[in-house]
Amino acid sequence: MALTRRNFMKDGIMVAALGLVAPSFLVKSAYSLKSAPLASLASVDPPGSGGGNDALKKNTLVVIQLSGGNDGLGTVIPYSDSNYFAARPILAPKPDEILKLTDSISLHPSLKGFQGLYKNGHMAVLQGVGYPNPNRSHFRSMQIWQTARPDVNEPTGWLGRYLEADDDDEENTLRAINIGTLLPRTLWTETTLVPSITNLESYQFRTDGRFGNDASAQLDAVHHLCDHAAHGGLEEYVSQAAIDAFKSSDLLKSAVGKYQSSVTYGNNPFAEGMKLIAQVIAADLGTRIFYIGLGGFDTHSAQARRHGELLIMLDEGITSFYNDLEKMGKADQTAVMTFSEFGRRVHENGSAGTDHGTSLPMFLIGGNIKGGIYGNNPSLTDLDNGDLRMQTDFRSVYSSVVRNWLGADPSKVIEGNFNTIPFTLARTG
Amino acid sequence: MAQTDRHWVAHLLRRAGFGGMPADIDAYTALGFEGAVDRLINFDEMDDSATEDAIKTMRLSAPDPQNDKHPEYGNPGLEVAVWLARMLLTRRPLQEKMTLFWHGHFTSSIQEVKSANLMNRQNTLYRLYALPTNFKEFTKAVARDPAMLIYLNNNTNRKGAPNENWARELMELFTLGIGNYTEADVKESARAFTGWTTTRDGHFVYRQNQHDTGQKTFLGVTGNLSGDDVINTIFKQPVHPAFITRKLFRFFVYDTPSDATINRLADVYVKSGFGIKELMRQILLSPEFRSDQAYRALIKSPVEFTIGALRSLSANFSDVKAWKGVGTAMAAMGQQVYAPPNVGGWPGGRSWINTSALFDRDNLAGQLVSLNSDATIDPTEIATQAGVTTPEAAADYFLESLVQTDVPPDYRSTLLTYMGHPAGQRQLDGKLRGLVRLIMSTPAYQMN
Repeated sequence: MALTRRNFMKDGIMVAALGLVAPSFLVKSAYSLKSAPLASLASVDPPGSGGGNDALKKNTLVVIQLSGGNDGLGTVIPYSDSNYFAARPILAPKPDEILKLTDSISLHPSLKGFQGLYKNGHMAVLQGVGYPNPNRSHFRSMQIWQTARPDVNEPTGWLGRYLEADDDDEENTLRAINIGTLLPRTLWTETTLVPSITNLESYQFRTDGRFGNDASAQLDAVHHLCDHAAHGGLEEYVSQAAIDAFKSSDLLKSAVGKYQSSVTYGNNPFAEGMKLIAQVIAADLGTRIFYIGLGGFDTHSAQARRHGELLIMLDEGITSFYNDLEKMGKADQTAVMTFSEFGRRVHENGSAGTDHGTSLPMFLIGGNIKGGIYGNNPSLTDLDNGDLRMQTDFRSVYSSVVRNWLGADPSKVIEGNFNTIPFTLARTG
Repeated sequence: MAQTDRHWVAHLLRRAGFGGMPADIDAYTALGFEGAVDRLINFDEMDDSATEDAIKTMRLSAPDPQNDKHPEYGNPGLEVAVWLARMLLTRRPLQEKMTLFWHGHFTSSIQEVKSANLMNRQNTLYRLYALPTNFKEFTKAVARDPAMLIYLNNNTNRKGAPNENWARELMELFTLGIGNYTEADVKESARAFTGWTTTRDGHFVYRQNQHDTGQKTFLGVTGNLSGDDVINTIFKQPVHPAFITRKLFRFFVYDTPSDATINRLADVYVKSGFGIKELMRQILLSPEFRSDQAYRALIKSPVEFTIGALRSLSANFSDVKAWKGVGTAMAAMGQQVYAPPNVGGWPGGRSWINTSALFDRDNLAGQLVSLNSDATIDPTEIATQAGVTTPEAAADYFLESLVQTDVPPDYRSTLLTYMGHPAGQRQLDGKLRGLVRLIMSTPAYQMN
């Protein structure tokens, strides 16, 4: 018998294959929650406001992972604070480069498109996002942001748990799509495999045209061969991944050709990935979550050039994407969120770079995002061991996204009771 | 069920090498399992001059460096091709597998190092120390490796202006693991490594005037510590032996060893004076290695996927152009040698597999058997050499070569249905190409 997604899930083969266990907090009979740190800027939700909101069920979330530790202080700059220029003698922008958002905050000079999005009210800047007892290891801190569990080693990701909790369209193989060659833990679930795509051209079992009807014979055979495994365990996982690959490849064929765009994207993998996301959104395949990474932010030395190049890619990729969505009338249904595993130290190091730090700003961008600055400028004098103190727990941001953007109940996704931040515009219908 | 020596020797060659042709498996099996382990471990007893000669020829026939203005940059395409060719040709498979392991452990990437020549020198160092008899000495050599100094920015770590990158990863990723040191230890270690830098022409130099000679306290030891003092202190930490043992075990055996297993093996490592060579011998001879839990329990990395098939089919790509196509396809599959994704190397395991990576595997297999590819193998020629004349015999031969016939029973009938009754040589040739490609696309072939 061929494994369908349903009986695969029912039998819990994936759990066995991956050696996964259910997230500890999901199996608790009742949540005995420690009092979670309250975000100063968060509003307190009325009791009973958890749960779904159907008007939000058509919203799409695009998560952008900035890997390596993005220098938050070099991205959103408190330019009116003289301490900033003292701490960053080499890296601080020159007076004529300051890209102002407010009378105290500017953006990195590379972020010109972001400045436009902000002025049009489509960009929220969440200041000082982090978590208690920050970890300065790339791997652990990234895992914490991906799993939303700073306290334990959690196998599933926060968006993986969202996908399990919100099962409206669970048979849709394309409910979530990862852009790239490595599936981040954010999208690990107990039961299903989120497809990863780098480009639509290569996302298919290609056959050699010169052997005529051999192509369909190969496809028939490979479907049979991938249908089951000899040794169980991870081989079952490979088999299921292969089945999902064929299924999602067939679905995505419909996305080719439906998309036409007058917007120009850059010529780099991140821009191409953003364009691919726009292409899939245009095809209306019911995808709620997209995930894409941009790496190289670990700027321990000669930061200025590298960081500038990366932020230009980020800025151009997102700006083109937003313009594209606006033209297809989907900008109001799509929100882009950026994060990184940590920010960097306040003081630049001796190599014109910065070492691993703590909290940093997050961006939320979209037609229905309520633009503005959320939270205070970071204090550059009240430091914790040379590092910024956090203002907002990242789980507060995630909870807000789950509740107010994806229309699901955050208690099934995020352990702990975190207040939501009102960064979305009210929507009707 | 008791399995034959040949069964376990095939497993051994997949793990401690890149697999082999049926004839290779036979030759190692003739030595007995322990003899096969010894042959792999004592690799310097094997004459490998044929590989060295082939590499020399490859270098001589290579096109000019890609960047004439910066000849010291070298030729990245050539260096990747040379290393992949070594993996394919070597008669010392464990030496090459360990070199790959160290590349993923003591990671550096050409994207930051920006010199193919320095990456090649690091690669040569890792090959020299493939099975070190003293891991502490190897770590000290790595601490002086120019590519590493550049990759983790220690070349800019100076007195009064420390850079913590190398100091942190030395402990977190290379020797101790997270949670076994404090942030203060990172800072103090960085001070101890000030002045360890590179010359303009890419050689290690210790610059006394950039070194912080002040008193430092690192993991409880206080004094005017040098970088070597830091490494000596690290190797006295009781968590170190289990850390490196676990990493090797998970790469070579399976993902979830018990603490008892790790402690038993770590003990061997300590008693041998930090000998990775003795540790690896004991890992390969352990009952865990020859257990159901280990058998086909790891997912082939893109290198194992590709080189494994080429070795099993005794392919021989001698020109850089052929390897370039293979290298590009391997990068799409998620493993570009000399350019690991980050300082943690390749996470491996299930992360090798996702829907996109599977298509990339299927399609590289398609490319390898395609007629219009620079890197192509000829299944008809292989079948002819093996005396195979019927579709049935071909299915049996290639199932044995690529997956040791260790597959669900209906694989064979599915493949025979695919083969049909080819009319004429041209159609048979096409079907044999499809056959090889299909076997490489099965879940069974993805398992190592």
